[in-house]
Amino acid sequence: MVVLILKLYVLLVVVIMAIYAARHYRFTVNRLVGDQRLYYQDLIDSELPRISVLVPMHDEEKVARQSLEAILRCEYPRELLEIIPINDHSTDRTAAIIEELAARHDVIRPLHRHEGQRGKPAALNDALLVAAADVIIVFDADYLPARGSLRDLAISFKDPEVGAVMGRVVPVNTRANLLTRLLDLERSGGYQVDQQARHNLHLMPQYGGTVGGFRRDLALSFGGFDQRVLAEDTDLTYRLFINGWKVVYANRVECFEEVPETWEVRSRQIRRWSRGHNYVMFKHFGALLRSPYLTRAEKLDGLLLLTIYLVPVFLLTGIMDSVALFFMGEMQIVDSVLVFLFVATYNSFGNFAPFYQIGTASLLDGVTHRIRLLPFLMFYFLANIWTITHGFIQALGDRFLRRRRAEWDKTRRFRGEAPV
Amino acid sequence: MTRRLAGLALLPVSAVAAGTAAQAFPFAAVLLLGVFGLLIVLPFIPGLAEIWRPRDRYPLPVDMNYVKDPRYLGHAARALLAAALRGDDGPPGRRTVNLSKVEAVEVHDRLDISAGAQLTAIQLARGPMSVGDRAVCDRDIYARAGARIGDGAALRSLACDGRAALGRGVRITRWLDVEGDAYVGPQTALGANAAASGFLELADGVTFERLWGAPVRTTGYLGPRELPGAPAPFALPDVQEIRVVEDLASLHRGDLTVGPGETFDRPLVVKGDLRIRTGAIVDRTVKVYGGLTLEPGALLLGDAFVEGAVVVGEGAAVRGCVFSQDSVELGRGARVGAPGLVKSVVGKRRVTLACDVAVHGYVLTDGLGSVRCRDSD
Repeated sequence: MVVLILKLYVLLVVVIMAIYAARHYRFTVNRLVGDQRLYYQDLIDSELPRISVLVPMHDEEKVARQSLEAILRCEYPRELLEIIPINDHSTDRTAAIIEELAARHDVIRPLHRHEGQRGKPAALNDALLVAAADVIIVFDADYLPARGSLRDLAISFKDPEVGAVMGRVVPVNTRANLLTRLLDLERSGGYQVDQQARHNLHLMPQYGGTVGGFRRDLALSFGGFDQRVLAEDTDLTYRLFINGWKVVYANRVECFEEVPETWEVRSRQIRRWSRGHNYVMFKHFGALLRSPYLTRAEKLDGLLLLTIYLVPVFLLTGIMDSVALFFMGEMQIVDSVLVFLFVATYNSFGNFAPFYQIGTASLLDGVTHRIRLLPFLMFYFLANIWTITHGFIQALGDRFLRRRRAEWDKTRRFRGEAPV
Repeated sequence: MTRRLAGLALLPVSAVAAGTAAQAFPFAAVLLLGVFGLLIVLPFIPGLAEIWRPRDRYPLPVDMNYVKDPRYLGHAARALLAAALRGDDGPPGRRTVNLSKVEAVEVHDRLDISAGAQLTAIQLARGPMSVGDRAVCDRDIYARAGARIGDGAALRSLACDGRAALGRGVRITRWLDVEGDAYVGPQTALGANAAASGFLELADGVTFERLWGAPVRTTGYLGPRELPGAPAPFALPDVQEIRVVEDLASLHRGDLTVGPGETFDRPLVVKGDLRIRTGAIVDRTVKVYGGLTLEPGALLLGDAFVEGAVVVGEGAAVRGCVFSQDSVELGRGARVGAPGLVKSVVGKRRVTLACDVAVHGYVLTDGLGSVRCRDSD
C-alpha cells in the first residue's frame, strides 16, 4: 500500500510538472508568433486621473533620494499629483532625506510611521487613509521610474474594468556578479514572456506591488491590505480578479530596480515571497474556483499561478519519493511504453521549458549574448527548491497557527547614493 | 588523427578479447568518465566564456527620458540639425555635419526643387520651399517656412515650420511634422508618423499609421484651393432623461442595445456586443468585449475600450477616447473628442476614416490606416 502511494505520488508530480511545462510553452509560443494585445500606453488623453504615488521606505537612506528625485522628474500634471513617501519606522537618515525633499517640493507629502506594525501592507494601509487621489501608484524605495511612467500607468485606469496595473521591472545592477545576471534573466522571462502572454491571452497578469497601481476605493473596500500577508501584491491580484476586476500589464512601462547581490539576501527574499504567496494560496483557493466573474481559462491560469510556489515543494518531495522507491527496488512504476515515451519526451522538452521561455525573452529584448548563461540557471533553480519549500512550511504555520505573526523582512540594499 | 581515436576507442574491446580486462578497465572507465564530464561541462562553456569576458552584462536599456510625444520625430530631427548647424548663418551652400553619422546638408534661403529632381543630401530651407512633381529626396527635408510638395513626390521625411500642402500621390517614407496647418492630398502615403500643431487635413485615399493634429480631419479632394479654416466647434448636447438600465450592476453578460433616453449610473462593461441606437446618449465610459456600434447620430460621452471592432456611424460622436484591439471605422461626419480636449483613436488592426471626420488629438494603428471618402459618399 505504501509503495503504491509512493508510486502514485511520483506520477502526480510528473503530471504537475508536465502541466507547468505546457504552460511555459503556451506563453513562449504566444510571444513568438501569437497575437499581441495593445496596452493603453498609446492613448493620449488630456483628462488624466488624479494620482497618489506611494513609496514605502524602511531604512532606505541609500536609495531614498534617487528614487524620489526620479519620481519628481516624471511628467504628470502637478495639480493631479501627490507623492507620499512612507517613512516606516526608519532608524537611519531616511526621514531627514524625505523631509529635505518635501521642503523643496510641494507635491511631496510625507507620512512618518513610528507606531503600529512595521511592513509594507501596514504602511500602505495608513497611506491609503491620507491619500487624496482615487488612483494609487506604488514604487519600492529602490525603483527608478522613467519620465513617462506615471502617465503610462495612470492612463490604464480610464478603462472602467481595470482594478490594477503592473509595469515591467528591469534589474539595474546586472554587472555586479553572476547572481544578478541570473536574476536579470529570470526577470526577463517573467515579464517579457510570462506577464505579457497572460495579458495577451486574457488570463491573469499579476499586480507585482511596485511599478504599478490600483484603485484606492477598491483596496479600501477589501478592508485594506491584509497585514498577515507577506505578498500583499498577490493578495490584491486575487481579490481583484475574484471580484470581477482586471489587472493589466504594461510591458513598455519599464522601471529599474536593484536585485539582491548575495545569495543570502536573495534566499531571504524568495523565502518571504514563497511564504506570502503560499499563504495567499490557502486564502483564495476556494474563492477563485467559485468566482462567477472568471472564465474557465482565467480560473485555470489563476490556479496555476496561485500554486506556483508549491511546485518546488512537489518537486523536492517527488525526488525524495523517487529515492525511497529506488532503495526499495520499486522503480518500475508504470509498465507502459506510452508512459515511458511521455516521461522521455518530458525529459527532453519539459525540463527545458523555463529555459526556452527565458531565452525567448532575451531574444525579444534583443540581448542575445546573455543567453549563454542559461545553463547556470539550473543551479539557481535547484537552490530555490529548498528555499521555497522552507517558505511553504512557514506559510503553513502562518495559516494554521493563529498566534503566529509574519514579520516583514526588509531586502538589503547595495546601492550607494551616487547619481543615476 | 581520426583513425588513432577510433583505435583508442576499440582498444578496451580488443583488450577484453585478449583476456587483459583487468588492465583495460581503468582506461575504459577513465575514457567514459572523461566523455561524461565533457558532456556535462559542454553546455556551460559558452556561459563560462561570458563570465570570463562579458559581452552582455549591462542592464537592459531603459530610456529614462521617454515620454509619449506624437511629435517626437520632428522635434528630435529639428534639434539634431540645429545643434549640428549652431551659429551657421553663412551663405547658402553645402555643409558636412555630424549627425548620427556624417551627412551632407544643403542650405538654401529659398528652395525650389524642380520636377523629377533626385536629391541625396539633407535639405534645409531658411525660407519657403517647394518640391516639384515626382521629385525624390532620400534624406530629411527641413523647411523653416511653409512648404508645398508636388504630385507624386517621394520624400524620406519632412519637417516644416509653416503651413504645408502635399499634392496627390506623395510618398513619405518615414514622417511628416508640421508647425502649423497641413493639407495632405489624395492617395498620399504618410509613412510611420504625420503630425501638425494645427489641423491635419487628409484627402481621400491617404494612408497612415499615426496622426496628430488639432484636429485630424478629413475631406474629399476638391482640387487646388486655399487651406480651409478650422471646423465648426463640436457642441455636446445636454444629457437628459436619465434612466438606469441595469440594477446597480455595471456588468452586462450578453449583447446590449441602448436606445434613446437610456443611460447608466456607472461605467458599463458589456461581455458581448454593444449597439448605441440613433438618438441615444451614453454618458459613461464603456468596456465592450465584442463589437461597438454607434448608429448614425448616437453619442458616447465617455471613453470606449473595445476588444472587437468599433463602427461610429454617420454623424455619431464620442467625446472620449476610442480604443480597439481590432479596428475602428469612423463614418462620414463622425467626431471624436472636442475642441480644447486631446483624445485618441487607437485601432490595432485598422483605422478607417470617412469624409468630414474630425479627431481632436491622436490616431494610431499598428495595421493600415486609410481615408475612404468615396465608399461613404
